[in-house]
Amino acid sequence: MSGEAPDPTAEDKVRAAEYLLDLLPAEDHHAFEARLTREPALRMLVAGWADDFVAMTDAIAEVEVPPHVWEALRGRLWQEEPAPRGLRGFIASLGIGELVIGTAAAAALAFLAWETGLMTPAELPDFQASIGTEADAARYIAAFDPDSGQLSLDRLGEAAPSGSSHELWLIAGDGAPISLLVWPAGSARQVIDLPPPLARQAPGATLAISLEPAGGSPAAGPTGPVLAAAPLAEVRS
Amino acid sequence: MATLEEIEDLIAQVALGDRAAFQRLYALTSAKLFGVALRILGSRAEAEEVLQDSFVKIWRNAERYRATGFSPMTWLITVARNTAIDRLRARRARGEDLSEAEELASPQPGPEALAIASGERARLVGCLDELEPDRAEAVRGAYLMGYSYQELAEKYDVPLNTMRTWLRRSLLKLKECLSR
Repeated sequence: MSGEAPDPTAEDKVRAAEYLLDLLPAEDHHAFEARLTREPALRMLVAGWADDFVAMTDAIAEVEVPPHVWEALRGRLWQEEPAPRGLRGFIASLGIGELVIGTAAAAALAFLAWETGLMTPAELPDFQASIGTEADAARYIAAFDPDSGQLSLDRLGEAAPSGSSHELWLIAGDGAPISLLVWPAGSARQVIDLPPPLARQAPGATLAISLEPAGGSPAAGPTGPVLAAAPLAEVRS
Repeated sequence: MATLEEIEDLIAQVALGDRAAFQRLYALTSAKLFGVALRILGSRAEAEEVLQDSFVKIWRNAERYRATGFSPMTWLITVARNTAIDRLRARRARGEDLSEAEELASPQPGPEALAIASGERARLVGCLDELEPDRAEAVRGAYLMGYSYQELAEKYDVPLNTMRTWLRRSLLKLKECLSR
């Protein structure tokens, strides 16, 4: 521990470049990553190298992207048509202050997950919820991956009776229920990409299924009975 | 022409889940990222997939961008570069013949390209030129082709440890030059 050494060592300079180029053996790579989460000066070295190296792409000309790529991307990120009402309303209602909280530890860990795109993703725990039992009118299981923000759901029980819909809600803390999805009739599996502000609240939050008129609740919150609910709990593998 | 501040603002908005900002970010930067992916992979179909994957990562990780300390275009291009390199390495691991793609992937910049080069690039090119030519080429190969030490050692027909020493020294020299 050499206190706040202002000058990075030659070894660290080279390591930062090797890390960025993914030249290190796995063990050294992970050791360097662990240091990155604690040492801002080291992160600056990596960022500096990234700027240096990226200059190698300056002479690469832009190439127009065919429009179907955007269409496919949009489909992949946001599945169907418009965002569910509840979700959009929720995002619009969020103040900036609430959003900048992300802890330093989370940020540091996250730095690595995307950093190379080559490495194993950050090891955040997964979350699952078993919503309803065989005795309930609705039965689903949900899995949430905090690394990707992806919430996947499988319907295990009966579909909603005709003329009605199952609607999925997220309830974080004592917040108002946020509509995530009106379950499409006939579907057995749905995958939702939660936007970051919502993804951050998902761990530990409650997922609930309510019975609504076909097409979903006409109001901002659930109008029908809650058929089943369960918290998204951490799964230790 | 978008300014870096504008790109940075857009990334901040994307971090809040703003789809319109994401669409604008895509409109402003996708052609550059596509160009980079295409140069690395030499195949339009693969570059299109890499572009999609890159923007999925950008959407999901925008809120983490700030913690990296990268400048905005560097971050976006690095995500695309890494995603493309990942795919290129997978291709090599499958032992596919790459002669054609490599042809496309690492052309030397012509005089015109150098003439219009930005200050950053000029600085980097100048510093790479201070290295011995094959060592500068090895640095380029590591970045633009994602070569490992092992692959570079085979390419230059030197022992692995020699290659490592070479490249590490070259990187340090490069950094010293760039910091001048």
